[in-house]
Amino acid sequence: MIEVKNLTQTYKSGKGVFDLNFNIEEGEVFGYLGPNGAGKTTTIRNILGFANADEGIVTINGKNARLERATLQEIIGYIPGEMAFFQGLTGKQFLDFIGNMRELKDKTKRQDLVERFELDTSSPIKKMSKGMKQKLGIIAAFMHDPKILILDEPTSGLDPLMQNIFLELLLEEKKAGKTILMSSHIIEEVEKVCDRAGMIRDGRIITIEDFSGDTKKVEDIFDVTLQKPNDDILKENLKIKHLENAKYQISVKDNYKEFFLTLAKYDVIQVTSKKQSIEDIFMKYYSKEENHE
Amino acid sequence: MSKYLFLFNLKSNKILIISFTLILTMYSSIATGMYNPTSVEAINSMLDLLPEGFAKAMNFMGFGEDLTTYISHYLYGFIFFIFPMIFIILVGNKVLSKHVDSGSMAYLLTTPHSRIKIATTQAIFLILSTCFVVLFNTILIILMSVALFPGDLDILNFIMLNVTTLSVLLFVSSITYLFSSLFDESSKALSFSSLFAVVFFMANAIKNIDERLEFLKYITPFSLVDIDRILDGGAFSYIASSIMLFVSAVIYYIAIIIFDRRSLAV
Repeated sequence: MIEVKNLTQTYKSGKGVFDLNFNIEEGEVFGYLGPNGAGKTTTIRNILGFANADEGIVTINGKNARLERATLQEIIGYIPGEMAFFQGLTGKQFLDFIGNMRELKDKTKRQDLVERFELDTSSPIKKMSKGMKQKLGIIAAFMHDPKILILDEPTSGLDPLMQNIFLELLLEEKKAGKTILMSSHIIEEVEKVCDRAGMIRDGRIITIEDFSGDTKKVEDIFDVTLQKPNDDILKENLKIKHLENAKYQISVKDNYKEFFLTLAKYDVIQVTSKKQSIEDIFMKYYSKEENHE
Repeated sequence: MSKYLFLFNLKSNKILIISFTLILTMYSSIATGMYNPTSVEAINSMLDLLPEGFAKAMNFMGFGEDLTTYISHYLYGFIFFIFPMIFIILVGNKVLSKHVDSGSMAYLLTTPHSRIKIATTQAIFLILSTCFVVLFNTILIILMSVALFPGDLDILNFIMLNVTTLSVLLFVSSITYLFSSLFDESSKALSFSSLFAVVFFMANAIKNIDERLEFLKYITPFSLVDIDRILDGGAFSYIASSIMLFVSAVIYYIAIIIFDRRSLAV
C-alpha cells in the first residue's frame, strides 16, 4: 500500500535519509524506530508528500505521494511529531476547522475520541498542556476514520494511562484493517502493536524486524539485588552481568522458567525491570553486524 | 479557493483589519471634516514657512486650492502609503510564511486541498483585505465630502487616485506574498518585505528633495501616485494602475507556483 523506493533527501547539514526502501502492506502496522535525528520525520514528510525528495519516490496505492497529495489526504490521518496548532483557537474551534476543511459531516468518531481521551475541547489551545495538545492532535488525525494512519511519535507527552488508551485505540484500528506507520523511540510500544518495524539510524535503515510471530525479539532486562553479594549467580545458565555490590543485571528472552528457578535459589530482596533504550537495541544490532564482518 | 480557509483567515486577522481600517478612518475623517477653504489658505501659508526639503520629503507641497487636491495631498503622499503597507507586511507574512515556520502548515496540508488551492486562497485573502482597508476609506471620504461639501469633490479623479494608490499597494502585497511563499522562516520573509517597503517609501520621500535624487522615482512604484497628474484627469492613472495590476498578478502567480513546487519541512 505504501511503497518507499530509493528515497534520498539530503539537507544542507549533511543529514537526511539515504536510499530508503521498504513497503507497508495494507492492514499492516509498521513501526519506525530510531533515535532523534535519525531521519524518521524526513521519511514521514516524504510519505505525506510535503517534501521533495532528491531521488526516489513514495507511492501510496500506486499514486505519487508528492504529486497527488491532495487526493491521498482524503484517506490519511497524520499526527505530527511537533504539535503546532493555529494561534488563537480553542480545541473545539480547531477540530471544527479541520473537520470543515475535510468536509467531515459525521462527528461520532470525534465525539467518541474526545470522551475517550477525556479532553476538554473548550479551552484555548494556548493554555493546553503538552499532553492535552497531543490528545487534540490524535483526535484530529483519527476523527475522519482514515484508512492510513501516519503517526510521528504519537505517545510523546502522554501520561502512562493515556499511552495505554492510545495503544488500545491503535490495536482497534489495526483490527479494523487500517494501515499504520508509527514512528517511535520506545521499543516496547512498537513491539506491542507493530507487525514489523524498520530501524533507522543516520538516515539509513539498518534492519526490518518482524514482530508478528510468537518468538520474542526483544530481551527484558532486570536488575536483581541480593541480600549480600554472591558471585555464584554469575555461573548460572543465564545472561548475567555484575553491576555493583549485590546488584546483578539479568537479560531474559523466553527463558522465564529458568529465570525464576534460578532466582528461587538466592536471597533476592529486589527485582526491578529496566526499560531498554533505543540505543541499547541499536548497539545489539551493531554488534551483530560487526560479528558478521 | 477554500471557503473555510478564507473564513479562518478572516477570523485570525480581524483585529489587524479593524485596527488598520480605523487608523485610516481617523485620518480620513479628520482630513475631510477639517476642510475649510479659508483654513486651507492658512495651512498653505504655514507650509511656506517650512524648509523646502522637509516639506518635499513629507509630500506637503501645498494642499491645493480645493477639496479634492486638499484631501489628496493630505492623505495620499504619506498616510495612505505607510499604514496599508504595514498592514500588508503583517498579514502577508501571516498567510503563508508563519504557518510554515510554526509548523501549522502541516495541518493545512493534511486536508485534501492542493497547495495551489491553499496558496491561492491565501493570496486572495491578502488582496481582498488590502482592498477593504483602502476602499472602505475611499468610500467614507466620498460620502463625507458629498454630505459636508456637496459638489466640491471631483469624484471620478479622486476614485482614480485611489485606484492607482491601491494598485501600487497591491504590487507591494505581491512582493510581500512572494517572500512569504519563499522562506521557511517567517522572520526572513518579514525582513525582506520590510526592506523593500522601506526602500520604496524612502525613495519616494526623498526623490523630490534634490534634482540629483530624481532618478529614485524609477525604483519606487509610489512615484506612480503622482497626485497632480492624476487629478488633472487623462490616461496616466489608467495606464499606471493597469501596469501595476499586471505586474502584481504575474508576481502572485510566480509565488503560488513556487509554493506549490518547493520542498516544505513541516
